Order: sequence, then structure tokens, then C-alpha cells
Amino acid sequence: MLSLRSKQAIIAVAFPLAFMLLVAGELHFANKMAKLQMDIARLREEQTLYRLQISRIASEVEAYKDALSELSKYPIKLSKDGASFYSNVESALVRNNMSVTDIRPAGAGEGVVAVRVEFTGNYSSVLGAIKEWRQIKEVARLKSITILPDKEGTVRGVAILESPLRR
Amino acid sequence: MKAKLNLKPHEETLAAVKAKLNLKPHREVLAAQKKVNSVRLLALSLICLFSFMAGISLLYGFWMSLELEGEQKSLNLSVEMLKKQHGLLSEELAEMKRDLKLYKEAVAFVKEELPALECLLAVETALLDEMWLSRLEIDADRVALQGYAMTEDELLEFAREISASPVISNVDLPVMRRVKKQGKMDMVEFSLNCSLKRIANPRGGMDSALLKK
Repeated sequence: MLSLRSKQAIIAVAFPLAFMLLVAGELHFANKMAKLQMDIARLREEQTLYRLQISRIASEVEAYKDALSELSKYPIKLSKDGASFYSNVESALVRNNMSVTDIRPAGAGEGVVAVRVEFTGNYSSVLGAIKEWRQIKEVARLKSITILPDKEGTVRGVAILESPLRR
Repeated sequence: MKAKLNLKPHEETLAAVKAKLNLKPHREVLAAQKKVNSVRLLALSLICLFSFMAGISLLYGFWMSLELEGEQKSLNLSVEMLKKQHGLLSEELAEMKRDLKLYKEAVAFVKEELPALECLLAVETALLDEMWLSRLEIDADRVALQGYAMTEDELLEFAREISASPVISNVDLPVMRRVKKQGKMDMVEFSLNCSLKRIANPRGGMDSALLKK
């Protein structure tokens, strides 16, 4: 059995200890709540910001989708290495009964492939070939053309065509 | 002699002595023993109240922090999802912008197409029966023509005709000289330069207004 003095001593130590523990607990939770509230406020701000940005981007995406769906009616094709472009240029001439005397790469700017083609044939076939060059699958354009008279009833010429390469 | 032999604790002895010496009536003794110390009671009550309130407050703090932690977690999750969505949409938008840029570049590229066909047709139409060309060159914004005509008037007529074409502008004054062609015939050898006018869309098709939109 503890004596009265011992009990008094225990109470004298235990009570301030409990008091300190309570105060420390209070402070701890107060600090924690303040931090959490700050964090929550920051997160709410971030959430609102993201929502605004998302709605703006979504409307922009919709506009682009509309525009691209309209543009998809006019499909474009870019050549990867120019091989198919050369082939299409040459076959347009051949299809119009013209003979290709020379075909070689020509100097072009960055990201563009160019071909220089020498041909002979009827004048009307030249017109047909130019028309076909405008309709080849790849995006292409005629850069220059020179036409000279050749043997009786025929012409010879040099044309340079360009096509952008897929990057 | 008795006092010397007393082995009880001092307090008990004193109490016994006190009890023995207490001459008050028994009722009063009991009343005195039952008397409440109100200051001590108040202090005890305050301490208990403080402890109770502190305990409640501590529990409330604990519960609130749990609540806030839950809210923070759900907000974090929501922000993460929004971030992901934002990233995906931005990627999609960038891809679409790339596609549109590609279209614009392709259209700009095609717009530089030489109106060669139109130009050749204009020259063909303007060419008179007794005229012929020895060279025709279409390059960038320029058309160079070399050929032969019977007379200067024919040449001027030809120049006037081609200048009326929608793809040709600024026909320069022709350079000409009289030559004997095929041994006998006296002909006019000419060289004519003119500027080429770009037409809106030689291929037709894609409307540039669509790209502006």
C-alpha cells in the first residue's frame, strides 16, 4: 500500500504530465489541420485551373476535329524517300506515249525532293503529261518546263518537278 | 509505564489521544467529519472539466484531421486524373495542330504550282497560222518565248493576244530581227519575255478558306 506522500508525489508528477500531453496533442492536431487545410486549398486551386484548361483545350480540340474532318475530304500524301514520286512522274509521261530520255534527281531545298526529266513526244502528249502530274498521289508541283521543237511533228523538253518529303 | 510500552504509530496514538480528549457531542463530531471543503471541490471540478474538454477537443482534432486527410486524398486523386486528362488532350491537340500544319504546308506548296498548262494553252491560242516557236520556257514567274513570224505586225498581234490571257502579265517589248529562213524567206526572228501570273488554285479542290477557319 502506497503512503499518502507517495500518492501525492505521483499525482504531482502525473497531473502536469497529462496536462502537457493534452496540450502537445492539441498543438499537434492544430498544426496538422492547418497544413492539411493549406494543402486542400492549393489542391482545389489546382483542380479549378486544370478544369478550366481542360474545357478550353476540349473546345479547341472540337474545333480542330471539325476542321480536319472537312479537310479529310482532300487527302494528302507525302513521299517518304522520293522513289514513288520519281516513278509517278515517269509513268505519267509513259502513259501519254512519250519517251523519257533522261531522269535524274535535281537540287532542291531542305525537306523537298526534286526530279529533272527529259522527254520527247507529241505536243499534245506534253499537255496530257502536265495534266497527269497535277493529279499524282503525292503532293507535287511543276517547277519549270522548257519545250523545244524536235523532229517533224514532235517536241523535246525538260521539266523539273518537286515534292515535299515526309518529316 | 504504559506510555513507555506504546508501540503503535505516533499518528494513531495522537488520534486516540484526540478522540479521548474530544468532549464534543457525537453529532457535532460527525458533522465536522462530513463538512465539505468547497474550494477543494471547485478546484477538482475545474480540473476534471478541463481534462474532459481537452479530451473532447483532442478527439475532435483527431477526427477532423482524419476527415481532412480523406478530403486531401480524394482531391489528390482528382487532380492526378485531371492532369492525365489534360496531358492526353494536349497531346491530341498537338497532333491535330501538326496535321493542320502539314495541310497548310501542302496547300502552300501546291499553290506555287506553275500554271504551265494554262500558259501553253494561251500561247497556242494566240499563235497565228504563220508563226512558230523555237523555244518556250516557263520558269518561276517568267515565260520566255523564241520563234519566228512573217511580219512585225503579226508579232505585235501575238503579243497583244497573250497579254490578254489571265495567266500572263507584263509582256515585254519583243526583241526582233529580220532573218532569211530556209534560204529564201525573209522572216522576223523574235524573243519575247513576259511575267507569269499565279492563279488561285490550278488544281482546284481544297478551299483555302477552310484552312483559315
